[in-house]
Amino acid sequence: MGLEIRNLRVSAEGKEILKGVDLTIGEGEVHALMGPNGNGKSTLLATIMGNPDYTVEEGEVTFNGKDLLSMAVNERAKEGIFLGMQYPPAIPGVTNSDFFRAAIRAKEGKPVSLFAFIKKMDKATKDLQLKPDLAHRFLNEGFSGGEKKRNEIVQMMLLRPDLAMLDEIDSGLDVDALKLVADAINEMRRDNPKLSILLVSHYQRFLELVVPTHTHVLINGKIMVEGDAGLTAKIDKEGYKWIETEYDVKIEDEEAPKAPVSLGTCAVKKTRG
Amino acid sequence: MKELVLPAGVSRYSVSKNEKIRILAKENAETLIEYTAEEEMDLTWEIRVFPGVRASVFFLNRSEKKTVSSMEAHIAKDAELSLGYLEWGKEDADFHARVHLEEDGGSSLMRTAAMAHSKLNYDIETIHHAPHTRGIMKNYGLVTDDTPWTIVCAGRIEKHARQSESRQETRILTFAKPETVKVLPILYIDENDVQASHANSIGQPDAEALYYMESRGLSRKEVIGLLAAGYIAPIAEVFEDPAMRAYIRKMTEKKVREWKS
Repeated sequence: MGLEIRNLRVSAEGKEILKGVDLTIGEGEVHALMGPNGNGKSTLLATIMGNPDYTVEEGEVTFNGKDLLSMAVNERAKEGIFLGMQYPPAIPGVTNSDFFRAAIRAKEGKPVSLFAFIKKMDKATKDLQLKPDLAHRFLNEGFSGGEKKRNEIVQMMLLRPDLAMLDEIDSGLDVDALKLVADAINEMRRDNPKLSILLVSHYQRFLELVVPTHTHVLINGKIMVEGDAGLTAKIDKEGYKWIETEYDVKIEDEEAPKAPVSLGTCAVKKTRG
Repeated sequence: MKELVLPAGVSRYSVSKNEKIRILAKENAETLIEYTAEEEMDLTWEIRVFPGVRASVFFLNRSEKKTVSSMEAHIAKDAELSLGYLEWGKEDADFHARVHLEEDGGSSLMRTAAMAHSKLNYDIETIHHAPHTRGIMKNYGLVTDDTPWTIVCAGRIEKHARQSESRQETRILTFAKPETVKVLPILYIDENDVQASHANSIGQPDAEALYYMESRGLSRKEVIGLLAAGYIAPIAEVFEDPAMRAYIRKMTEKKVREWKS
């Protein structure tokens, strides 16, 4: 059955970001979601996960026939949805192992044996070439950008979702780490042929390693163009400008970051002339 | 005043009535003292750490009624005191602790932690009387309801205590109104060529952290339990002994579980 999104309109801080998204992801499919920055890709993933920063104004989102929008964030995770975040937060005081075990217990509804957990954790850590002390470190604290992304994939391997959404999981990874992450994702797909994936990525290199069955381009809060893996190659070569001509649309630019504001001077050094 | 000479290695004691006790650390030792009173209790402690000795003294307050603890610790030349106070009592508690770094090279690390569900009043101070002394105070707390908690934390470097170091840090995670907690960090410095700092934060759990942890399937209650246990857990590091550390961590987790239910 998979994921069904119908006419999804979403706003944040009073601004409409998604303006009527329709998307269907079937079991075992890999969907690449592309588009210029600031056009709503991360918003779509966060909305599916239930991020309270976003307000659903209209539309439906179901997973395996169940209404996701009426569920709390943790209930969506228990339904088998996983979001590998673009910027995973650091959480001091909570070790990876305590967190991962609690998450597995929550997902499976029963305690996980220490032996089984250590075995799974060891494999995931080795597959992603993370340091063996990962389990005892605080969650994402002091991690490099690449380590944080690999730690997201460790969690995905341990939680075995049915729908994995990966938000720019390839950013911050070097060439070797990119291959490790792609190999881990492909192994999970082999182990669970029902696993569906929704990938946000800007890098063709990654999309050559995890080959999408479907590609969607999100422009101005709507899916404007759809295709297969060939579409990602075209975008890699030509960018997004051709869409403006071909689809008679003006791509809205990402809002420029606000300039820093001076709060005044707190100290003045006086020099003698 | 009663005298308790700490044996080398690890030891455990409990107190359940009003006492005045002098603790003498003449050799390296670690001790856990549990408050187990069912009635109100008033305790006076004097701790003396002899030259070159490293001592850990940990007070675990599990009393049913109000407690008042008054403590004076005296640290000799090149001695080290690791002092812990963990507040699990069911009623109000007053904790007054004064650490005197009396001789060259003495150092102390005082850690307090509490899950506040009753009125707590902490007044702690580390006084540097001699040069090359190091005093660190770390306070960690979880505030679970709107009962008031006051912490006055002072570092005092006296004249002639040159090249001394005074640090303090207070971190409060609150699930109640932030104004419930009052923290007053103070530094009195009467000597040049010293190092001193204080850090203080009172805040509610970070919304981004809550969302992240919930996105892995944990309920809000489970997330708060993990954050709470993680906040308090560092106090176990007062001990070097792994079994004692494990015991304190277990107690911490148990308390958080009780609180969540």
